Amino acid sequence: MRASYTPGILTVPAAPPFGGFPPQGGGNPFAGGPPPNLQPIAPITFETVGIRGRILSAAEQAEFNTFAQRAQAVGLEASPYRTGSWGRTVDGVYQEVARIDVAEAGMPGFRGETHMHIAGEGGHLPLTTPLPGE
Amino acid sequence: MVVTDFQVFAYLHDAKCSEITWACTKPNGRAMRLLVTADREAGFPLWDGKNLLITLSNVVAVQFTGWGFVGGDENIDSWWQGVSESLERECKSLTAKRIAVPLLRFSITFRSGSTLEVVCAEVSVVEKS
Repeated sequence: MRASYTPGILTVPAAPPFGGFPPQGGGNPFAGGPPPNLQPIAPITFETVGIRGRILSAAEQAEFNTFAQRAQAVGLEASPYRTGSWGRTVDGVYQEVARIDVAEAGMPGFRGETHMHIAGEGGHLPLTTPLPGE
Repeated sequence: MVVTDFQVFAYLHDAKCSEITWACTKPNGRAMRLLVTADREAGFPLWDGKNLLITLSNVVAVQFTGWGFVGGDENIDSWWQGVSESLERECKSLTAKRIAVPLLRFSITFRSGSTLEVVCAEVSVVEKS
């Protein structure tokens, strides 16, 4: 299952009703419902923009989404070219107000640690830091 | 300092990038230069808070997508090994024409969403005052 991305919050399309496996030979033993002991093979993943097509896990996406909800609540708009960047367009220039950098597993330094940035405030900030307007 | 352990470039996350140069001063090879200031909290004491000149030498191919409508500082977001499929295809095409294509491939993404992909033979980092 793939998620479609438009700037803002990603949504995962609802799974189609499970129709059972195609009949094989003598028919489908699972017809009428999902097999009780089988799980989907592929994990749910999410595409990004501006971060080299990084594919997010559901947990990583949840961090982006939570931040997106906070940013939208204070009237910020999503950067069209960088997932996690939120700001305002003023006189034709996009000015980032806040950004979340979600940790990448196995990376050293702050690339391996989820943090946020707020324009005008230095350093790597914890996600508990209020956004301007919160 | 010629860098051979490319994992260290992960520490350039959030480095301020003030300049990217396509250097044509040598007749037998091109170079890309990035002037950056590593973040004070980068986590790599050799670079923390320092001004660095990063030189990618003997560059054979570059692909840059820049988004200049984003205001404020430009910062490195990530430094990866590898390039996009489209640039890799170009490299294969060059190789088929007997062009010497070096081994190193980097993709550098920036806070604005801009992306720089480079195919080169060597990368070095020196501290600038």
